[in-house]
Amino acid sequence: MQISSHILDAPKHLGYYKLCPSSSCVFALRQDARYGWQRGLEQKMSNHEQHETAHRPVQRKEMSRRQFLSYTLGGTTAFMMGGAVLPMVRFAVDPLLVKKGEGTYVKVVEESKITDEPQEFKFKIHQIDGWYVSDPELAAWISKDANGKIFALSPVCKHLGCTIGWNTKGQNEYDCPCHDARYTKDGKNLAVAPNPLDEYEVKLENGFVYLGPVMPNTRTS
Amino acid sequence: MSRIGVNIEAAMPAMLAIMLRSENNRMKFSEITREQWDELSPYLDTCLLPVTGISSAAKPYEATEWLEQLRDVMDLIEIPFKGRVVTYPAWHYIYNSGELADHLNEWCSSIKRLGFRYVIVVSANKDLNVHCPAVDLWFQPGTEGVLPRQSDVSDAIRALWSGQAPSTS
Repeated sequence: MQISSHILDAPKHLGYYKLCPSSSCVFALRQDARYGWQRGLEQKMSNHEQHETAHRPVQRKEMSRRQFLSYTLGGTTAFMMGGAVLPMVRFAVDPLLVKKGEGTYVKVVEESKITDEPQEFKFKIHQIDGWYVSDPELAAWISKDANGKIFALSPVCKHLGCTIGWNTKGQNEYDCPCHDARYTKDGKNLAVAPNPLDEYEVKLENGFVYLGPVMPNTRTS
Repeated sequence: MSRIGVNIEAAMPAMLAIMLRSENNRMKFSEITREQWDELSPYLDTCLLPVTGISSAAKPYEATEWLEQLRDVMDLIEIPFKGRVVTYPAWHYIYNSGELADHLNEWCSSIKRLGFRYVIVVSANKDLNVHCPAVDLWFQPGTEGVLPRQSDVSDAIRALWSGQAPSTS
């Protein structure tokens, strides 16, 4: 068996090949980038089975330095990018997550005080309009219809915004002092105004009438 | 900002609030565009003229109080009658000569020639006492400084528009 002398002459300082220190081993050891020292070329005549297990190409689950570095860099980059992108995603998704102001009902009056005849009730709401926070006072004309259902109308005339009043001329209608607009008890526009009166959302709870935001009239089609 | 003696940072929110507050519950003269005027002029026939009446004898804090009171009285007129009343800028200064009545009268007459049918004057100066035939309705605090009530104001304006004899408070 010829000793492959060229292997032995390989520059040892490069670290790629070394002789197995054991005298009974016939293989040179080659350094593999991934698996470390592997069995390289056969060098000596010997019973090499004994050493086989020792020099079996060990699939060690060891990370190389290059691998470790690339994992570290990649991980850090991902973390930093995530730190920048995550708030943007949250900002973009925010409109979907905002709850509609469901808790904006205000207690106005006892349910038992509502009659068929519209009555005016005043109440304060908390309003935040940009930077401006205010507690304006609103009014509502609340009455019961033929079925006993309570509804509340906004007193703002749909013509040009004046405040209407109930039955000021004795016709059992809502009248506007500015341009003589008229509305029925349900808020349907009879004269001058182009639309019926707006309604407040009504919620009945514990014997009290709660009024919510203003919405278009639902009683007239 | 720090060089200015006034603490602007503290005043910022209030200043911004005043600037951003959009007064869409009253009809100010400055908010009517040219196109809107053609469409709205038949409906807007009443001019609200605030006469603050700041005389040169009033101290700054007195003038401020008057302005606030004036705003309170104007609210009683501007908001319920938004669709028919146009608010003009305030007539701030008065002089102790007797010419105020003439000036005011002349101005009110000319605004009526422009197209306004009624002129309502509001003042915060309870001592102001001028005779102006061109003015249809005059509101000012009572002798004790008591502001007129909403119901009195509304009744007076409704009476004016329906052609009854106006009652001034």
